[in-house]
Amino acid sequence: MFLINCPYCGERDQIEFTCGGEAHIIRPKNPPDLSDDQWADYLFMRKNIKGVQFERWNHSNGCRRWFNVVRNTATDEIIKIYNMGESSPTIKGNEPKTPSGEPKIGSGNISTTFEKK
Amino acid sequence: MLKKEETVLFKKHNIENYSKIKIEEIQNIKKINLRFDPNSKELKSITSKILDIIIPTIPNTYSEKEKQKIIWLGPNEWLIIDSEEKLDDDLLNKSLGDENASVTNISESKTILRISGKKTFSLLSKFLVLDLEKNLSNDHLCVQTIFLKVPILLVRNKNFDNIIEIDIFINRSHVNYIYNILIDGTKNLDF
Amino acid sequence: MSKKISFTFDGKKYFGNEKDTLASALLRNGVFLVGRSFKYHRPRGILASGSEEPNALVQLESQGFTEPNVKATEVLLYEGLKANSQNNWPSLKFDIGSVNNFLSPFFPAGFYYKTFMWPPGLWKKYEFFIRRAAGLGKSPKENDPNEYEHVHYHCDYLIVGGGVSGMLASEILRQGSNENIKILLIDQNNELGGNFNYGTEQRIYTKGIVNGDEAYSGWIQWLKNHIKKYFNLKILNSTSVFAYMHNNYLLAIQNIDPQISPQNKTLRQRIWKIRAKKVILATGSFERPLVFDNNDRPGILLANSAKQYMEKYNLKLGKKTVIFTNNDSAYQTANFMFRTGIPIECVVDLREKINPYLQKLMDIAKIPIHFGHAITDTSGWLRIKSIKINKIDGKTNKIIGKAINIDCDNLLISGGWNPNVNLFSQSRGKLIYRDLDGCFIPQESFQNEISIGACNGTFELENIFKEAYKKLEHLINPELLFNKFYCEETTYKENIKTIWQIPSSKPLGKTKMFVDFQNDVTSKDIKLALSEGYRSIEHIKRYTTTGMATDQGKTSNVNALGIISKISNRPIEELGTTTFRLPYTPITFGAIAGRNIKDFFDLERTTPIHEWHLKRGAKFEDVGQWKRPWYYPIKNENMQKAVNREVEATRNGIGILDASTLGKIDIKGRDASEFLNRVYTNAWTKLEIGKCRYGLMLGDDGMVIDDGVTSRIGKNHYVMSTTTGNAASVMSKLEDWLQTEWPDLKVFLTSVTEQFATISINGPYSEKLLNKLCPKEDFSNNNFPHMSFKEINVLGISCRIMRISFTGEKCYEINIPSNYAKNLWEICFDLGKEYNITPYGTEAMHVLRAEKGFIIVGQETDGSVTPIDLDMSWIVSKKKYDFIGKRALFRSDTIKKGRKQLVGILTTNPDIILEEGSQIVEKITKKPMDMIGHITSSYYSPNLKRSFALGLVKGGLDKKGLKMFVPMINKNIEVEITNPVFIDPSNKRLIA
Repeated sequence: MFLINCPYCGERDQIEFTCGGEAHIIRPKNPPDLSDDQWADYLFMRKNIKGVQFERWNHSNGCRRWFNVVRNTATDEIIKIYNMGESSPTIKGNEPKTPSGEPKIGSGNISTTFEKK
Repeated sequence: MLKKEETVLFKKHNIENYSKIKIEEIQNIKKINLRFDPNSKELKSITSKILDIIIPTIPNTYSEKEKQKIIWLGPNEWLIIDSEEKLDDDLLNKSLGDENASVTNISESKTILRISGKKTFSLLSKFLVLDLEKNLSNDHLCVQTIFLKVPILLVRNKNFDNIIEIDIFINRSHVNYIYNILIDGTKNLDF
Repeated sequence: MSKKISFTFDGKKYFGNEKDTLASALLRNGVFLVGRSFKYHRPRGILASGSEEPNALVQLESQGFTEPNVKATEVLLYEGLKANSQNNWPSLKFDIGSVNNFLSPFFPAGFYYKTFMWPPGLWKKYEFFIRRAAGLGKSPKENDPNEYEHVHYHCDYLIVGGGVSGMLASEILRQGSNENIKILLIDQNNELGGNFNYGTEQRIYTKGIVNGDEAYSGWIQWLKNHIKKYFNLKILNSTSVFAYMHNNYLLAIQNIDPQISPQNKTLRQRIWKIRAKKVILATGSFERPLVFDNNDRPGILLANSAKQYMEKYNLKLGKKTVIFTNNDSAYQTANFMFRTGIPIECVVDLREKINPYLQKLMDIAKIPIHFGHAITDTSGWLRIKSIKINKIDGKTNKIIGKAINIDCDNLLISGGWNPNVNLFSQSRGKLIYRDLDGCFIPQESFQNEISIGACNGTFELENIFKEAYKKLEHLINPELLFNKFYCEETTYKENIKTIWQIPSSKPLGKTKMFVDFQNDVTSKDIKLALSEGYRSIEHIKRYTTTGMATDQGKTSNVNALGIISKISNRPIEELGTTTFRLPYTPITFGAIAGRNIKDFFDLERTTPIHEWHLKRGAKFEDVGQWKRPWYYPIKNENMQKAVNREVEATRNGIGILDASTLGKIDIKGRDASEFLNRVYTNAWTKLEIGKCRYGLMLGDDGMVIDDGVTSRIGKNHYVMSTTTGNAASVMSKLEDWLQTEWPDLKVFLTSVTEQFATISINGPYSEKLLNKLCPKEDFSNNNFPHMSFKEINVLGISCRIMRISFTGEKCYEINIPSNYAKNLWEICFDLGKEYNITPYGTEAMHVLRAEKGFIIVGQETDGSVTPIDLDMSWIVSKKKYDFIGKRALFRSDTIKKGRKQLVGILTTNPDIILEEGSQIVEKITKKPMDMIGHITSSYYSPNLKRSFALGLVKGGLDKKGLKMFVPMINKNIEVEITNPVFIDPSNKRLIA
């Protein structure tokens, strides 16, 4: 039950939100011209990163707005929140270590080395 | 002429802790959902002119005049409520047009339960994960959140004699469940 | 004199004092034997005095009130308390299971894994015995009559632990902050003070407004009274924080009125769900047992716990007490006993000497000390009788010389202290090992949290005071502090000699040195695990089960690590700790469920006409959260008869359905038509105002996700209907497309599902009823044709009426503002009596639509079905360049031959009703048979006077007319593949 800072409503509990999966997957403008493989890429292929992931979230039990979130999936630390339509920000710093690697802290990992934008 | 159902509640309960908490259904309120892009100065001025209230653009606030409130629901969405049912939504609809705005009467899809009394926040804290003291610290604040699994809107009314009064807007179909569990919650309020 | 409280243990009546816990009350009555151990059924007594207690688990109360595995040390005594010992048969004193103790060579670590694996067929037999042998208490069979509830709480500071550190922290934070700061102090005992109530001889001083130079007892009392006065400081007693989760979200469980029997109160426990800006952990520490041979006999207690029993509860534990220690803290117990005149036989200390001050105290008390000695064995079955002590070589830690026998009935042990880092570790903070005293202490926080006092490895009182000020200073305005506390130099220093496994004169295999008392894990089990090749601490934990019992290894984990370290010759810091898991302390299921039980188990949604359905005696079906009428039995009618009657009435007279649960979305804006073009498979631009059209909605994978009729109300205004179950998800998916993919489209979506109730009037006489309802309107086919829409004033209320049909009958769907719906329904019902108007429920609705071959999304489709599979290519636009799902309809997988397709299915024997979900095969062969499809809907049709079904069959469209089989357990049912439309294929009834 982590907190998410809705760009409109401010910090709220996770239960007010729904995760919409990976961000920046744009629906192709010319589907008929695409091969099966290209379409399948759009349709099915998703990254499932243990670490920094770009996601879409919706404040479904609040203002119902969609926005983008950069989240460390290993620690649920939210690194950045930005609006729909904005391009993905560069997250500087080392890739955080995963819990099964050598954790910097506890059994999870933390991106204290991350420069937060 | 068809008969109007006065209340959506099946059964009314007496509350043991009546001195500390009061729960009632507020009827006969006109509720209009309003959508348009607030960057459009034209639409904004038409709306303000007809309603004679400023459209709130600060999230989770409402503006109020006499019996009317305009409640912020989202960056391009508001709820207008009118307790005298005088609001002319047809006029608003026609004036704003149907291309760049939307005016929808939802009076009967939302029911209002009004909770008041000094234990209001205690009762609600049994069901809401939201920080009530922060998000509804004074009047002119409103907040949309989740009540168990139901999306709701909470509006803090003006204080009378320092008694907190909150209106909860609930989907009509959920009201009986929510009302009953609220009544159940009034049993233990001193914690 | 305090009040006497009566209670029973194993059926025998005893009396305790007002402030007693069950444990102290049992000891007061000389009951040292309280349970049998988990594996070996060895007699066990009370070891500790708090949440770390591994042995004294009891079954509290009986019937619905019962709770298993309750720690006697955590139960406050109340009048009439009933407790029973666990894990013994036939009785605590004579337990047949204790034969396991003598068979213990046969119960090594991993015993169950090794023994009960083969042969696989016998597993079910083994399981019965294992289940009987495993577990401690018994779970209740009756409903729990008590209530439990949850509350949420938000605060600036949450202080966990009301001992000296926690109280000090709350006082510093309160004094040093302004009044708007909310502070919550949680303590697991019913009285603040922790060990400090009965734990030190130090003097506390204060500088500032409050006059100082008070002895500690005065100080603690002053502070206890003082901190209760402030409205911004909330104190919860008898409350345990059991989980520390993300963003300082902590869960605590509060025992309501713990000194009242559960039978005399309603509310038993309350879960607090707390979100704190900052958490201060002051959770204290646990005394560590020493691991030596036969260290588990009743009468062996931790030294500081024993002191609590003697000091706080005024108990005399034994006549002959021996203290066995490796550190200074046990001498507090010795000194206390001397001062209160409780005799001590001797102290056995692993160390060679103690500090001069302590030595002087012991000399005055004339207590003999065996320095450099260890207890190497004990005897006594139901209570300790004697010990053996040996001299230990200071360098090699090996036994030298002959054993001395000492009689005793009470042995107090102290192996040092473990900081209680469970919550810190749950918060994902990083621990570090401190070799000096064998402690894991917090090193680096992961969340906004501070650990202070003993849980931070700060044991000496003077340092606790210094640390509290130092660590909290930056949070407060020091100028606001009106007094400051400090403490003189501490007598009892941290000075410890750690021997993780006390040597024995016997070979290890013959010893019983318990590490984990609750799960009966001995040091030889750990050695066995290591010799079998286990290396990772997490694996050793699971294999030996050390630290896995309900006490979560509070007394055992560090000792286990020490022993592993010694045997495997690896430093402890390299081994690391196992993960500390929530809950910190066991939680009842009742508390987890809270009030979400019975009527409140799940949300219920009801339509505006619900009360009428109730009065009519409808049976209800859950459709998502909705309560929908399933059928309306008359008198003793069974379901089939009622459904038949409802179906026939609809085909021959009028059937009336409450369809209010269908999702309704108002779509407005300049680009509304374009939007519909994109989300539905068919074309919308040319739909005339006042007309309706059926639409299929696909996912971008080409699979059907929803269907419904959309009506055009104006140039830029449509109202879309969705299925009941998908109303919310369709709305949010459409909103998703608009906000994220097509922000350029000017379209506004507003849910009007609950604004309008929907009354569906079906049947050949439906037009006549509408005419009676609105005599001035023309409802004929010419003026109001099928698939059209009108806004009509019905008895003074403006309604949206659609001429659409889900039954195949002529049908008018009236959408009326919800407040008037019930009255309109009643009027329709009265007006329709001459046409045998009959309310029908969802079951009849299913039969009616299936007779007509209409699909239900979620029944005929399951997320793997395309419109082509449903033989509905007529609704898929060939002209549109794109719509959601279009591209996927041409993927190699969706165009391949042999996909499952929708067909009708008729049994050769018309009386057999197939089971939905049953499989279809082409021919009966040896199992496994080749399954080529399944039944999606199956009913009896009173109109066809036979059973019928719909199903999905591989290549089904080309298989119509063929015979197939539905194999069931005891018969094979012959069926024929048919067209899925069974009634009125030419749609004559729609326009009749």
